[in-house]
Amino acid sequence: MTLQYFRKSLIAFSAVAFLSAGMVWACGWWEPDVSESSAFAPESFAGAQYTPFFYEPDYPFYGDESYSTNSSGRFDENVVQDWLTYLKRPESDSSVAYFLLKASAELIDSVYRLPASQLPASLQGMYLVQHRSNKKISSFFRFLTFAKANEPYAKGPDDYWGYDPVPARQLEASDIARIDSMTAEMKRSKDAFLLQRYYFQIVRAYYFAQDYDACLRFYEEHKSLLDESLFASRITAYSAGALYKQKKFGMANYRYSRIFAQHPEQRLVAEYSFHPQEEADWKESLALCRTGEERIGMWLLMGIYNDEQRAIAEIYRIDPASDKLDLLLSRLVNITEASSATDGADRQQRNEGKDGTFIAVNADRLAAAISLLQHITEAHNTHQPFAWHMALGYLYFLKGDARGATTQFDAAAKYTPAQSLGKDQLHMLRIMNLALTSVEMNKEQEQALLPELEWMQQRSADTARTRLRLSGAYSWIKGLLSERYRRKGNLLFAELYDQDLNFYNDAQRAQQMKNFIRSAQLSPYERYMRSIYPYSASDVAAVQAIVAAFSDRLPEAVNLMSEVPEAEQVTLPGNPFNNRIQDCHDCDHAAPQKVKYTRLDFLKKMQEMRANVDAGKDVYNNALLLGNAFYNMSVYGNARSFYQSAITGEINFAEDFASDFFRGLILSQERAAHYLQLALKAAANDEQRAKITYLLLKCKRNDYYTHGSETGAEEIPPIPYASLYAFSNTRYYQEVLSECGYFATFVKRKK
Amino acid sequence: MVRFLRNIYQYAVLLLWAPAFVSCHKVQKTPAVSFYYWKTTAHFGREERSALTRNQVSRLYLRLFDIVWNQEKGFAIPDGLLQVQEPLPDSVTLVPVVFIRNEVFRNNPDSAQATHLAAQTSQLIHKMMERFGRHFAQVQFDCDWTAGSGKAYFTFLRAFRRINPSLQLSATIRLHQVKYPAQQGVPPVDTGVLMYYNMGRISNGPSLSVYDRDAALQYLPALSRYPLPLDLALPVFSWGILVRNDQVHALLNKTDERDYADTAYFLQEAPGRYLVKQAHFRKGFYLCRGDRVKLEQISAGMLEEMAGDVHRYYPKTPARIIFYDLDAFNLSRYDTSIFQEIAHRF
Repeated sequence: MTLQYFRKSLIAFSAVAFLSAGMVWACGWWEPDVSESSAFAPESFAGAQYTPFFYEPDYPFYGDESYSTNSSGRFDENVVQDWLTYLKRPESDSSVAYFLLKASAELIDSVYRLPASQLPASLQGMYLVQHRSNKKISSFFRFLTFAKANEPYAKGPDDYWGYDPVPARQLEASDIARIDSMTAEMKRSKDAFLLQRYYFQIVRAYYFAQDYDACLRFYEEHKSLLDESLFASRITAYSAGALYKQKKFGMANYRYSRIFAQHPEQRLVAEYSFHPQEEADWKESLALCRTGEERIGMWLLMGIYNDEQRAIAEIYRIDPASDKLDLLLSRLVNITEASSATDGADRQQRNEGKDGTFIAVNADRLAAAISLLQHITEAHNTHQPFAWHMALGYLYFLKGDARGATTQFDAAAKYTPAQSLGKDQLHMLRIMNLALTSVEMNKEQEQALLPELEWMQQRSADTARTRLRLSGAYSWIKGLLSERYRRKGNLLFAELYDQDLNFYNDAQRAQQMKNFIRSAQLSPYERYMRSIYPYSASDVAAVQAIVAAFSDRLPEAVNLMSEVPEAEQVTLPGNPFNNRIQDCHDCDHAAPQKVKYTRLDFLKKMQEMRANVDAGKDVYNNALLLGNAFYNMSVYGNARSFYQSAITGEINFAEDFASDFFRGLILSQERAAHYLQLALKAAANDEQRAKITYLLLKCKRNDYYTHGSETGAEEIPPIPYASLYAFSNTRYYQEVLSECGYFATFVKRKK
Repeated sequence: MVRFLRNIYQYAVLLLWAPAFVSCHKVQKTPAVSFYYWKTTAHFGREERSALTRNQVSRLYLRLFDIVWNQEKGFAIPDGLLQVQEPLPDSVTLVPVVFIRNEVFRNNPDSAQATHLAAQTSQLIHKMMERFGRHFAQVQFDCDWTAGSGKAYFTFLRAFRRINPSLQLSATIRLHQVKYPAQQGVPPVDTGVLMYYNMGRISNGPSLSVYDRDAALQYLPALSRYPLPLDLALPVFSWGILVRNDQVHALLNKTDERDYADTAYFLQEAPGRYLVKQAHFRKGFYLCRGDRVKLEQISAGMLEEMAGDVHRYYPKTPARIIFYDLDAFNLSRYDTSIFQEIAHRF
């Protein structure tokens, strides 16, 4: 491996820049995005010290460190704290951190060698500079002269686009001289603190020079300097890195597991570095373990790393009461929950199984997990039986076994959970299970569910604070209950729980919904349903009006649209009665308009025109404008916002509608063509006839766009363009010829 | 029945045209054999060197680095820079290749940024090639661009050319890019390389992701209309797809049936399909009991089939065939003569 490798590597043992200048900490509020597909929060029972290793499907780690790459600044705080203590300086003395983390090698050299008077004024005022004669402070600066010179080995690149041609940064004469000087310092000193720091510098220098033999030799020779401190564990970590480079994986991984077990600050990097290669080296690591606890540590890492089922079984065999099992149990459940029944199915697809379990998980995986947990739960000898019962109950639930789930949840309820979230987690799983068993949705079941659903509703407001993974579970419950009402034929309740645009196809159903919303006599259960329904009565009126308008029931449409408050009325962006030879919505929207139509104005105007047509008044013009109005309301026209609403959505194109009925409405050219035909009959001259004939061709062209053709390969739409030939003597014909490319092509071909 | 007739019709057309193609190609030169070298540390062992000499390889496509998107920093950085500890083979002309992840341009479609990135890339290529002590006349970029990132990628290519007016530029072209040049755009380079592999989804299904003839045949007819001269890149690598709980879990590189011969650990379910009988570590991967391994290997027969199909549709003989990738493990899986044999199919 090369230096370059470490530049990008998160294996921070190698890249720990003791004196790194920059802190790059990708810290911040982190929100798990798993709550849509997971209903099981590891925080409800597993200790917070293992948070980064909770299951996270998209990042290397869970939580605030989900993609932290702070390899160089990881230990800065500890380093500064150690020296503050050693130098007996208060935390307020920021100069210690400054010299350690920021100051250049040259500056340290000046402070170490020059008289105070020759130093910059800003330095002269510092306590450490003024007291350089103090033995410890003098040792501090002397040590720093070496450490800073060592730094280029370990530091990551400032310039990503640089290229170091020599991968093996070999020790040059000056480096060897420096190591010799440091070794001499070690011989002179009896100060354990200093000795350990020189030890660290030398081991690390050898490591980065890729002289792994020397690194390990020096490490072994001075092992007596190691203690239980975090700092000492960093020295050992370099030795593990060197062993790894020498392909002595068994010992390397053993050391990583020890560091993981002993130093929470090192867990992230130890876990990331732990990497058995072959069965033989893995067995060797296990054989190196001297106690059961060490073996547990090894299996814990292996479990996080790859096989939590096997690790749980092994740890349980060594010590059933081990608290290390908690983390692995949470991973076992979360990974099972995330396993998919079908290859390549995404989370959304998996959540679609409405009747039955929460998500469709992999059956083999689920069966294996249940079998393992049954065995452990029955023995009653773990340190937190609450978690095991709850987890097993949830797995039964995922299997669709509500009775099995209830038994386990009841058993869990007998214990007081160690984490405060535990109670809520169990409560939520019980609600899911209750929903699963409420098949008939009779009054009794509704009453039993009501307080639980209200609990979900109230908790959904503060899940971010509690980490309870509620949102996916809540949507699942609503979807499930909706489906059950649908099967009972109660489409109103089904719609209240889970919205489906097709509900509004039917005018009567929509009216029923509006009445329900406006009713003053709802039961508490009905009031709950109304509170989760996302639309208002006027939202429903708007969609009713849209359907009535497209169905050419204009008086009804006007009445319904009148129910929509003025503030919610949409102003149409262009003149909805215009129709061009070549459609240009942007031009229509930009064109100056004397009258701006709201949807209600538009419908009233249409109603007026329709009355004129029926009365035989100026039929040509009224029918033409009505035809244009229907044209523009459709997806091909300039007034698409006519059919946008809270319920239909901000949708422009037909394919985005989740309803065949609505797709059909906005694609249809039928009403437009109907009125244009009336206009054609009433036309007084060839100019008028040419125009209507062409506008009818546009409707046909749109139908061709909608339905496609057998081959789909025509260069121009196969519609009767020839019908325009009869009007070749008109001005309108000439305009079409010059503006409509399809028609021009058609004419050219015929010649 | 209709489908059957259509097939017959297609074959008939092919048969009618075949002699014409053959006669055309008779005057063409056989494509030169080349390789990609795609590692982070250069080491040319005996096998690699002998493959170069045996096939009279005059040009080696050497991956220098990748360009990736650094999410944390919010800018693109080079990654996996090639480390060279020993002299590179001097019998070949080197063509530096840079692989650019699509998200680099997708995340940053700004054209000023693309120009800046071109300058940085150019500097690094020159710096590295200078360190290797090697001249170069061509640079190749490998980026699976999409409609959303194409504009920035092409800006990058144009800027790179402005900085390096004397360099020839080439770019890899995927099959879907050949079929839809209007939507996907055509990169502003001198030549393209048709990447004739990785054409399917990586899955547990019956078809291979590396090579799926049915999928490829849908794209091939578009070749004759593609506006760039195209070299051809063919796969000689193999990998295993590790499937856990019916889902793709990992890709196992440089592996073949020799790794799965141990019946204590594996049960062969079908050719190239293995069931893990006992959990264990192997080559740095952990295989769980019940996992499945699907081997994807390109046989000599498949290479011949590819050459035959491509030959039929290529408007003219490609100037060179570049095999991906030059590596002792890959070489060990074929007869030494395979590369010449494939070239002589044209």
